[in-house]
Amino acid sequence: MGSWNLLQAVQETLRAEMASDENVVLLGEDVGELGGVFQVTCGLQEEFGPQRVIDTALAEGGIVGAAVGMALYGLRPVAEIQFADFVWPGFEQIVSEAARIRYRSGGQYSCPLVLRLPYGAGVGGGIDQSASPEAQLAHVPGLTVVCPGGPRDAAGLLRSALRGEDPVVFLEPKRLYRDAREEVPADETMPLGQASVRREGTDVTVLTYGGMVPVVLDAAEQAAASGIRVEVVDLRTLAPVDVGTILRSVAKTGRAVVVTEAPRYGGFSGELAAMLAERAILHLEAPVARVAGYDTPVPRVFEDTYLPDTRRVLAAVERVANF
Amino acid sequence: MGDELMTVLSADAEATEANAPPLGDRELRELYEALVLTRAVDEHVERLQRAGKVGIWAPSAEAAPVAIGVASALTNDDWLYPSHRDLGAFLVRGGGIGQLVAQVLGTVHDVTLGRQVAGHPTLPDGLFVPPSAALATQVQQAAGTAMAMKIRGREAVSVALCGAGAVDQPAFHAGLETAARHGAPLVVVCRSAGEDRGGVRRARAHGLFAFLVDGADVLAVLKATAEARERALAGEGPSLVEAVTVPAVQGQDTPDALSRLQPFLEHRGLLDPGRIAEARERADRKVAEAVEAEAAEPRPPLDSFLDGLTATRSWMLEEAREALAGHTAGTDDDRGR
Repeated sequence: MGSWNLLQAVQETLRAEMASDENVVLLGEDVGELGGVFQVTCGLQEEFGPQRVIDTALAEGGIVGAAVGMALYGLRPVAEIQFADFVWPGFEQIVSEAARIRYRSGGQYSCPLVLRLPYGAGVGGGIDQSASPEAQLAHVPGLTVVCPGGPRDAAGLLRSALRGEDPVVFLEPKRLYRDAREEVPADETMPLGQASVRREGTDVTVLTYGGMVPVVLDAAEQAAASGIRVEVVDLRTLAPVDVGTILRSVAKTGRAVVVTEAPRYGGFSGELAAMLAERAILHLEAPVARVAGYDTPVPRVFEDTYLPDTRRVLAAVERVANF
Repeated sequence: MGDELMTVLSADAEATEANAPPLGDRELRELYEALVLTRAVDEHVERLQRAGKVGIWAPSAEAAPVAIGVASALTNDDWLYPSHRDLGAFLVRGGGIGQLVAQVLGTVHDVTLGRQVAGHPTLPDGLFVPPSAALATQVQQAAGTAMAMKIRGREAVSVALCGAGAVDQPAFHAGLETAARHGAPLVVVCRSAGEDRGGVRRARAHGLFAFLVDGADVLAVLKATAEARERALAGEGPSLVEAVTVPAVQGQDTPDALSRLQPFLEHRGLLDPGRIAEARERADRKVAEAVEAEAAEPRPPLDSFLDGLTATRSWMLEEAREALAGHTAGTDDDRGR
């Protein structure tokens, strides 16, 4: 138990799980001696040794492939990709291998690994170190895709992922790494596939996750000042997403806004909008609105403009509320 | 090592005897029978393919001396990551011909439930990790398993089999580099068509020990793999075995693995023309009987394809089951359910 930011929550959860399960090993570029590019694994190699905190070659396909081979043999590898933008060389191992091995072996093999991807904009990463690839990942049958929006959820969801039986992609919103602290209970697990209602409201539902959660909470607070009661649903798991909580909320409010920082076109926000069109159309009092990043890579000096902010979220909420 | 082509089987039986790995009569007979059986599998599946009963199929007989030689050098604690042409290894590591034919035909008896392309069977516990059609991904996975073996202090090696094309893939390089960097007990066996030594050159670049062997010589493959395995277990790091195969040319009779091995078995008194014919007939009958037994079997239950993607079924797949029942109501699929 401690008061931790998101980075500390991830680090302390890794530490605790490594201490209690010797099968948990970490691997990635500079995760050992240097503690990782964001210092998430700082000190863990010192504590658990180089056999369990493994500095790898700088080859993402190699990192994911090695993690697959370890998981098949019975370890519980946690592979870090420095930036989600760099995951593509490992994509073949994720899509064609990790996500399919249970299925293609008729259940004779399983691949319980966790792939940690620091993702998203907001730290000056420019076009190659700011991406949000959740849509590509959520589209892969067999992958569980998790994206916490705060320290306590990060700890609880990561712990569940580490104790699970299948591959999990764990998207860490790097702009929240050193953001607000939260009390994080020891040894708490949070079920994957369950959303969290961060704020209750009756007028508009906002569906969001990860780095957008604080932005949306802020916008909800401001909306309340003008009399719009916003319900904020933090999805937490994107695949499989918690359709029950989403539909319950929208049935109550009749209005929905989806907020993601990824590009809009072909994005995960489209899946959510389609879900509402298919399943909640008779509850909807207004078209579903999407607030998203622009359909470009993230431009460094304009990233504050690129990223949805409170103002844009608030404008969408008001538009939907007053439709 | 790796500069001269390692061979064991030669026209001179005494020289072969002097070079051969220590194998008893029974083991030699098993090697021979596995080669014959793999060839019979190819022949029967190609017939099924021509009859339209099997789609995509990659023949295994040409790669069989490598697959069989490698698998015969391993113990059950060793893991094998095969390519899609290594059915010989499947048979050596305990895979039954019935199971293989069920997989090829995609019947209800296929443990992989008719999902995989024909010729991609699997055995549990690392005996035959299910191959994928992606090139060289298994090399890197095998390196990961080798690291896991080292972490756990196991007396075992992890072996990847791959074809000539795999050596150009990033995963091939990543696998070699990973294993070399961590001193992991990995043995990579790649077939190569011709003499360019693509495997050996790459192995050396990553600091692996390299063997160059005659890929039609099952005893040479077995011997090199056994030596590579011993090196790995002794903590001397990963190795690569490049097995040079001569690609079959249509209309030409290339010396195959069987005609290489036969004289030695004849010298040992294990084969004669009568027994050669008998072995071929036995293998042919075995496959034919399996094909006959499976040909009339139904596919796996229709909704099985929505099972077992993850340990816990997602709501999407729960809904898909209902949707599937609706889509197929009143159709042959429904009646065959």
